[in-house]
Amino acid sequence: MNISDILTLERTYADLNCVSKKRTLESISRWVAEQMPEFNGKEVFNALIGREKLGSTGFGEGIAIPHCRLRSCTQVTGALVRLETAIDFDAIDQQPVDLLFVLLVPQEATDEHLQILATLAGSFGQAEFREQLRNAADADAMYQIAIA
Amino acid sequence: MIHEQITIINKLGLHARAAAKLVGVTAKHSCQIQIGKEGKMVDAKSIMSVMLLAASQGTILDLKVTGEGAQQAFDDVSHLVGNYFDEGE
Repeated sequence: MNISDILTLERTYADLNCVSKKRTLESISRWVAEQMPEFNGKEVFNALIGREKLGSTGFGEGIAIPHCRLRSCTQVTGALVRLETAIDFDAIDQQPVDLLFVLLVPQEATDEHLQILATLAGSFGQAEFREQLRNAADADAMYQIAIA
Repeated sequence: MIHEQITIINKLGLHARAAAKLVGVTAKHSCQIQIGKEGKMVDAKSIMSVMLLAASQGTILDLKVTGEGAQQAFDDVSHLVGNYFDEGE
């Protein structure tokens, strides 16, 4: 599974301005639900924040991959967000987070979920990929880098 | 050096939270710990690297531990994996 299978330009956001982890997840949830009527923003937010309570998805190097399983989700859906200013995310390396890839996964999609996590880890684990996203001029450029 | 195989038995496999728990255990040890399959070994102290394995339920992984305290590190990792990453299934 590739990033291009789950991400669209409409779900790529450059320079979101949020001050906290909670507000950031709230904004992204609302914004995804606005574009995809099958999702309820509040439900997405509650699921994402519930997952964070089990352990931060800030996986280091300024990257977070907030994710959750949802009954209303029929196919794996991704959203890529760059923050204007890095925020505290309780990340495992204690570094602030400025790049997020939000992942909404169907309830039963276990193998698919592992595959897409591996794909994201393969891309976001590379310093060059992260730098390109940080230096991208706009959402369009970020999207092109992400799906390349 | 210890080189053994361990089987992922929890239902959800080595997903993000399980990978984080694994790294939580490996990071406590100063020895070198590698995990992988089919000859592709990664640093078991890096969550991004561990997630690369996409190890689902039933996957047999190689675990290589080298250095001081290797036996304790090996035991801690196999206990976590054998205990379903404390997920209960």
